[in-house]
Amino acid sequence: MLWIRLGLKELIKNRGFALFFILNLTLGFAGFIAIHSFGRSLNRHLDDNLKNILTADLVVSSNRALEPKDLELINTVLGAKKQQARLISFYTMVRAGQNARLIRVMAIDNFYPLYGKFSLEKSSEIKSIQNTPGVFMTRDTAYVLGLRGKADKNFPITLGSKTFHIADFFVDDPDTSLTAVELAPKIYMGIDQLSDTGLIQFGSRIRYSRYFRFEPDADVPILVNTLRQEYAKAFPGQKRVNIYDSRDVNRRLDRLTRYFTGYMGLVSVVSLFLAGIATAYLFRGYLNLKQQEMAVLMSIGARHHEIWLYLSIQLIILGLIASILSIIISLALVPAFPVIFQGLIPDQVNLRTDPATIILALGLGTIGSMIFCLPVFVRLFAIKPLMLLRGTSDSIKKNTQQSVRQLASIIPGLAAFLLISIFAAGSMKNGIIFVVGFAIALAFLSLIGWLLLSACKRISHTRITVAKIAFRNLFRNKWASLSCFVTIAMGAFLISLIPQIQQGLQNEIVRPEGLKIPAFFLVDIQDEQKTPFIEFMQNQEGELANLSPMIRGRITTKNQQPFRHEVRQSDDRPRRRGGHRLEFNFSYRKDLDVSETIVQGDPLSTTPWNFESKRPFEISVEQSFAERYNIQIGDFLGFEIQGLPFEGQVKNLRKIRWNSFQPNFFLLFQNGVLNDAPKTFLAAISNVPLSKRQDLKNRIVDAFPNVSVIDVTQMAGTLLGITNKLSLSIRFMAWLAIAAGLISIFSIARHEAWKNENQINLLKILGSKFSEIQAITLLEFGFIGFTAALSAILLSYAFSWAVSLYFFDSLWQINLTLSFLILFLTTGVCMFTAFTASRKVMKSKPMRLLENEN
Amino acid sequence: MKKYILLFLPLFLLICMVLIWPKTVPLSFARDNRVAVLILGDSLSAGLGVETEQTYPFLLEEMLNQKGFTVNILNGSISGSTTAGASSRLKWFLRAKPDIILLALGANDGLRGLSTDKMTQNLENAIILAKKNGIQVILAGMKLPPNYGPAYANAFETSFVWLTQKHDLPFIPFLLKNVAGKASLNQADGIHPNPDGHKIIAATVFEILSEQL
Repeated sequence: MLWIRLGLKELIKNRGFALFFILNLTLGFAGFIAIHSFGRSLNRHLDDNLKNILTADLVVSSNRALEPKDLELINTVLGAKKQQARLISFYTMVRAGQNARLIRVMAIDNFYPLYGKFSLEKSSEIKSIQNTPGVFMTRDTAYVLGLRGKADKNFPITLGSKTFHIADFFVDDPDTSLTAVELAPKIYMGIDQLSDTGLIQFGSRIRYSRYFRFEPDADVPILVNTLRQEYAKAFPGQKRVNIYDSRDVNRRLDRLTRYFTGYMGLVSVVSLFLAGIATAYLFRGYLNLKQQEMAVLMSIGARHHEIWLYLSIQLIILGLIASILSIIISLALVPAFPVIFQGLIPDQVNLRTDPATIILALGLGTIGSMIFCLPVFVRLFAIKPLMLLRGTSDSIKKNTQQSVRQLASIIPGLAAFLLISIFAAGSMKNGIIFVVGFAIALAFLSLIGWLLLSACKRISHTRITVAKIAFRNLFRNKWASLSCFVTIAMGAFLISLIPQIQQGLQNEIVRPEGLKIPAFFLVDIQDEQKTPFIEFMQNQEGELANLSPMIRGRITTKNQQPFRHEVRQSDDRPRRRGGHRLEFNFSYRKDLDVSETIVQGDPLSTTPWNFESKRPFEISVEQSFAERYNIQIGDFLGFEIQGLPFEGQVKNLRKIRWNSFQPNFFLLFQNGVLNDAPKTFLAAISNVPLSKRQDLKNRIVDAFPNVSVIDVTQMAGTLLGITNKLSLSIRFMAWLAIAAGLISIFSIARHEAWKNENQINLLKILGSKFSEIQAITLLEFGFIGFTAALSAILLSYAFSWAVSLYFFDSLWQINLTLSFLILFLTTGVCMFTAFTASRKVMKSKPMRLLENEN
Repeated sequence: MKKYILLFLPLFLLICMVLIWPKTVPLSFARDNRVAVLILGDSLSAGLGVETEQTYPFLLEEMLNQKGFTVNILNGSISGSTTAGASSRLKWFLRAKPDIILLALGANDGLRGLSTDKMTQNLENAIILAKKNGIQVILAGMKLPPNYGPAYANAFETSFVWLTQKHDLPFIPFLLKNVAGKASLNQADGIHPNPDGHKIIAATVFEILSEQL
């Protein structure tokens, strides 16, 4: 207790420094909490979005009604703590008056939806369509069925052999299914009303779905996997049901959400390392300042554990206060982000300080202090007090045992870093990769720093006094300067890792320039309808885009070997519903779409392929398709199209931004190959005012009855909403990481400048002018800041490229603007802190500063 | 005047194409002494989800040849196709000089709720074109799942019967006879036959086709 009391007294006695120390540490922690909380809030928001799209946590669906043995298996695996809802869906022709149209019946129970909701004009309850033959539909659907003017609820609608009425109109429905192309509008009815329609019989094509919602702490991916495994065990060789969760909501989003999660993990680790660096640096700096005190205590007979207790209690108190302050700041600040950064972060994100992050910050502030300072304690306890009093502990030679002990003392710190990296990255593998990468960067920057500071000796041989003194100072205090250089460089390195990846991801996610979001997709335009259709659209509101020929065929061989064998060897992804993918759609186009880029190889020849040339034609293959089927540039592919054999050679690999919503194809052929083959056309229509959409749709259907008009407005809106959120978040996170990093650098530089006050004071006593002292300090700190940031940025290019190659499919692009910004801000922060420190010294009396030192 | 030009332009282009085509296309349908049977169908005949060797057109050729017929079956089926493209597709295959055509289209028209009148008209155009070129037509009928409602399903089904009667065609009343609705004979999507289902379809078609050979 004595040592604890002494420790507390010491802090109170030096409260000025203690406050300064706490402030620095608080800034470092606050940045970390803000980044982590923002990241986790966004992940939660995205998760909720996907659940709302799916309307559940987990869905089991089948083409036949689930039998008792299915339900028993499902209940055993999913447990009792769940809510469930039922949906039966199918297409049918609905008759209303003289009109008959294809619609999709959605028969629901009272519990549907488990997430999300209906937006009904009269706010009717779901129960209202269970007990009576009522349906929910949109006004557009009612219009198509012939209902004009005001809502007539008695308007009869015949489904099978039963007549229904309109119970309410919905503006939005919970089913924003993005997985399938919807051929027809939806009509909701009560599941209990279904039996009288006579539509469900032997041979009916019906989809039976059960939706499940679990407690918030349930591990849905594990439940999905377990249920799939149990089904495989119980019904081997049978594909009885489809089981999926929000991860399967949309394959278009799959890659983007994977990138986003990876990016968030990276930013989390970066922010954690930044906080760790600042904490470790400040704690160790504090302990180094206490060397003489430790020597005195050791000389008067204090035991090691007592000194450890005495100093540790000071560190823990300082760390604890800093953590609590940073938590308070974050609690106040994070929820205010939407107001402060309006327009810069996505709307409707419920930002809150994350409890796990708060615990981590408290842990870093308290236990972290002891772990990070262990090597310093071990080093200082291993030497004689006299050496400490002389202040020469750095140059003392160690014996083998001491070296081993010193080395062992680093292990807890490393282990702690590794553990929290795994936590932040969300995977052991990624956590280890980050820590190893961090260690390599640390070693590399230490080497650069050592070489630079060694070079300072040569640079100091100059006639310019200010430069002479500044560079001599840097060289003479080589180890202290190196420590400062490495810490600042690591901070700059971490924050400049982000912009390159952010730029690459941003370009992948945002809509390509010149791309128009379609309102409709048109399918099955016949060859002979192409010209009349173009002419028809010239007189309509809306823009016809991307009229693409589509020819279906099989890939028969790859390099003269049967293609199906290749598929089986390389395709380890789950099989698509409906069996093997053996038929593919081919197309050709004069110019690539804005959503396409050639990533490998040369563009296809524009010269039409000559059938008589006997040379294989050129093929462009989509990148992920090539990966899945192990197709390389130069491979020969054999095709069977409309009964004819063809052979082509892969000329290039193409990347498609599937979230661009344009008709795109895995394989594009050289001009001239398919031009005369029987084909249909796909097209998109954009720029249609919302109020005109239904009219246009009706006009197209009337003029071209075989053409299916698929309304993709809702799907495009939902997906673009999510991608816009991702894009905004990625940019904001980059800025937040840079800001937090600069705050950490500022707190480190402030501490370093404070340590330099004595040196500045000495120059003052020796009669140096204020301008000279200021110039020396600015040069010293400016040099360290600039060289550290420059080396860090250059190194970060290599590291971010490696990270993007491993985690983000090489989505990497140098962001020069942010790199320059980091370089100048890091240098600026270092020089500013040095400038304020020198001003403070100039304003104080030399004796007072010397008194403080003692 | 403009309207007439627009009407004649595609026709003119078509004539040009036909005139130019034989000179520029060395890749052609192999024509030998065997009876050429063209199957013009959709995914059911294209064999969506099964290997080429498991499709009913492939099995049918094997069955017929085993029975001593010398038949070459040309599978001109396209998954997802509707009757709208029947005539234009047939024009492409005329170069193969088929002796018999099995017209197995219409399922996608029905599943997409398209007009049965339009479907009948499209099929009739193809039948007329085939007959003009001396090709014997076999029509494969189709039924819709009961969930499409009795009125539409009946109209759909009778379209094939009407065409058969009008043009006096050999007729397969239901291509998916003994296959539709049976989980063991269909793929997981419940609508496309699996290899066992294709065997049954092959037997169904064999019955009618063998009579015409």
